[in-house]
Amino acid sequence: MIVELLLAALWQAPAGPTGALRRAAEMAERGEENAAEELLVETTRLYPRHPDVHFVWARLHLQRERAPLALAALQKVLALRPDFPRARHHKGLAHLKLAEFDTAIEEFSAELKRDPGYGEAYYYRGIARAARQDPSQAERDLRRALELTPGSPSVRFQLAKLQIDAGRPAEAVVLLRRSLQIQPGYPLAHYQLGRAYQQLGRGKEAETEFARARQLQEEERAAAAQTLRQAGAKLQP
Amino acid sequence: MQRKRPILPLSLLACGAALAVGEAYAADRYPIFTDVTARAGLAGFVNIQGARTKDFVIESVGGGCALLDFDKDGWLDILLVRGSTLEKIRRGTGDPVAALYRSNGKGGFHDVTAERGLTASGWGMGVAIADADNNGWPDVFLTGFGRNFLFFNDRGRFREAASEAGLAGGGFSTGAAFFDYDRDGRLDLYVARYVEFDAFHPPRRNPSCRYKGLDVFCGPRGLPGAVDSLYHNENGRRFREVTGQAGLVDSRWNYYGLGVVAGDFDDDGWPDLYVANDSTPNYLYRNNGDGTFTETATAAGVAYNDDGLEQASMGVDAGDFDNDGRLDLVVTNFERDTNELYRNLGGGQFRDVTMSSGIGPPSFLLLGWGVGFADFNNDGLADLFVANGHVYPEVDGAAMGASYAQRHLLHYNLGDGRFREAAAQSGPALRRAYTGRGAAFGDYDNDGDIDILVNNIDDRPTLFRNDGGNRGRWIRFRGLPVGTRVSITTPGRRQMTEVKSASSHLSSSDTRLHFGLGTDDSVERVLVRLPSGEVRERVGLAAGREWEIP
Repeated sequence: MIVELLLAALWQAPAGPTGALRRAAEMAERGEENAAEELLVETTRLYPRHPDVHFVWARLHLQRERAPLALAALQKVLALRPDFPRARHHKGLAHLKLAEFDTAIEEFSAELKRDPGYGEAYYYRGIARAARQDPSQAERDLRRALELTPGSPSVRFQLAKLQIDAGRPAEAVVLLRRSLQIQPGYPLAHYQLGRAYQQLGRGKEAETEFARARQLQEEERAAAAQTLRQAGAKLQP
Repeated sequence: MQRKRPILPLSLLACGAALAVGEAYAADRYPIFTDVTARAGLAGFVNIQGARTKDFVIESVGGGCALLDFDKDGWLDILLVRGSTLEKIRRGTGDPVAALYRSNGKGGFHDVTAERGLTASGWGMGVAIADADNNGWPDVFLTGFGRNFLFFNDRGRFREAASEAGLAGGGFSTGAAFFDYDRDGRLDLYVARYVEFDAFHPPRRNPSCRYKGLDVFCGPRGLPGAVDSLYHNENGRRFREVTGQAGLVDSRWNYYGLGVVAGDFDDDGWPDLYVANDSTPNYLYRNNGDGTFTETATAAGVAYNDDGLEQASMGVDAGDFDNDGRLDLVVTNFERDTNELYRNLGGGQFRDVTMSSGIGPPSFLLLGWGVGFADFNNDGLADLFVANGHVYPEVDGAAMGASYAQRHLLHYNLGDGRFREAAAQSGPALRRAYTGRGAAFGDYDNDGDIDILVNNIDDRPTLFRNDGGNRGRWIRFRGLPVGTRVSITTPGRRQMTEVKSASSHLSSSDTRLHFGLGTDDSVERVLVRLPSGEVRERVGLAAGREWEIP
């Protein structure tokens, strides 16, 4: 029903696919991926040469872990408009999902050439470089990402991990504490904080952080169990 | 089994590295693994595991396999575990839980299951092999859904005695391992359990059970976990459950237990235990030496991956890949995650070297089960084999870059802390895709190299014969009890391993200890540390043969 209404609105939109694409993206974000795909199929039929259409497809494919299809969609985007904003970045994400780190680094670099102020591309390039066993370049990227996105707990987390691996736990503690101020209840940050304290020989604090990480993960698990129980109960006759 | 979505986008990727390692590794050093299943007489076995549509989690996990010499004729025999269907379980019948194939010593096997008394019906899952009653013959413990089975071996003939031994258990048992945790000379038993599962009211597919946008079976996440058990061997014939008093913590956490391996991870002479838990943190039980254990996985660095994320762990093994005299750990995991390799640093601490070793990236799009350290090319370095196969048939055609049948992984050890994955260079059989589960390792044809047996789900098994691994010299030790540690010294290298009753995914490998020696014709020194703590030493043993150390 929702899809039909949206399609009706789409038919009446002379300005192009923008409204429909926005709705599709919103649907995907809400987890209504099948409905979003239906809308996109129709939009693609109407606007087959509009790069925005293929870009939204690429994002949806990435969300559904269909990296090969995302790459194909992004090729279409770039064929229609070679400098399409974030297309190379998303190609980088798709390659990351396929564990193709070298190609991912190339794509993030291309995006950064186009837009040197895009912190997210530094972040993911840093992750790819860490995966390629290049910690110094990874750290440089993550530091730049932190400058550009100072409020990000994720960047701090990744940077802290590199510092722990490099035997600099004191620096990691500072980053992780700040990360937890920004995003309290982040189990992975508590775990890394535990590792950092362990390296510093602060065993009691490490134990506390490890316990907190596990408690938070148990709460997530309990919530998942509750969801399953409720969904299962609805199926009972 | 289904991984939860990482909280950090793609953070998991930081655990894997596409290393261009081993370029100098000569291709002619790779052995070829030939599929000899049919000519060995094993093609008639099918590991039934419920419906092929995989509507319930129970249909996706089993089963294990074993390489054992049950009749002590010097040739490895084969045991394959078989599942069943929910319909048969509801009717109270099930299927024969295992098949036993005896070696004819010429590369062939024939089914002796009924003839040797290894008959029972139900839903089989895993296997552990050890001489539980100390009569000198390897006994067989089979885990299953609903109940477990213990077959005592008396001169090559089996008698089922789980109930009288107190080991029939119940629930959904998976991995198991015999080990003498109190060093009283009798092997005790750990049994992992997975989820609470009611065959009459199984969790039906529903909208909350999704994987990457696909509707899939429910579980294990969201289902209640089943509690693992530890049984103390009272007199060789009777076991007593001691789970609580031994300090095991699963009754508190209820994690989804699968693979189990025992070994002396902290080098204190007492056997410890590592348990792979699906979608929950893994356990490392450090043996306190007083009949109790302390769970130390998180502090030791082996509960999670490097990010601190719990993984969907399936299979496990322990081996000394870096020849530093300590047992390292490997764990197989879900697709879009890496298998983890933990290097033992000593002092109860491990470091996740998944990334630096190069085993991470090749595993990223595969779903791992059976796993084992073994020196497949006899160069004196423990390699790694991983059997793969997805749990969701729905991934076929979903354009995710994943498939239901998957190729296996063979990581050759380069000797500098890194591995090179070269299954594709190890013969056409390892370029094909399988629905692998349990894997066992041993030299079934006694030609001096390690072969591989894989139990595939809903399919015949695969016996991969190693051709050419014996270009390197080797030495082997037989007749050693479970928990024995053997260290050998050759010019420029020292190797170590232990006798295990079970490892991998619900499986049990040859208990003879095999060492590759490269070009060395002899071993300078052999140290054998028995479970009792007694140490025996031998010097100047010749390569190319099996030795007993009385």
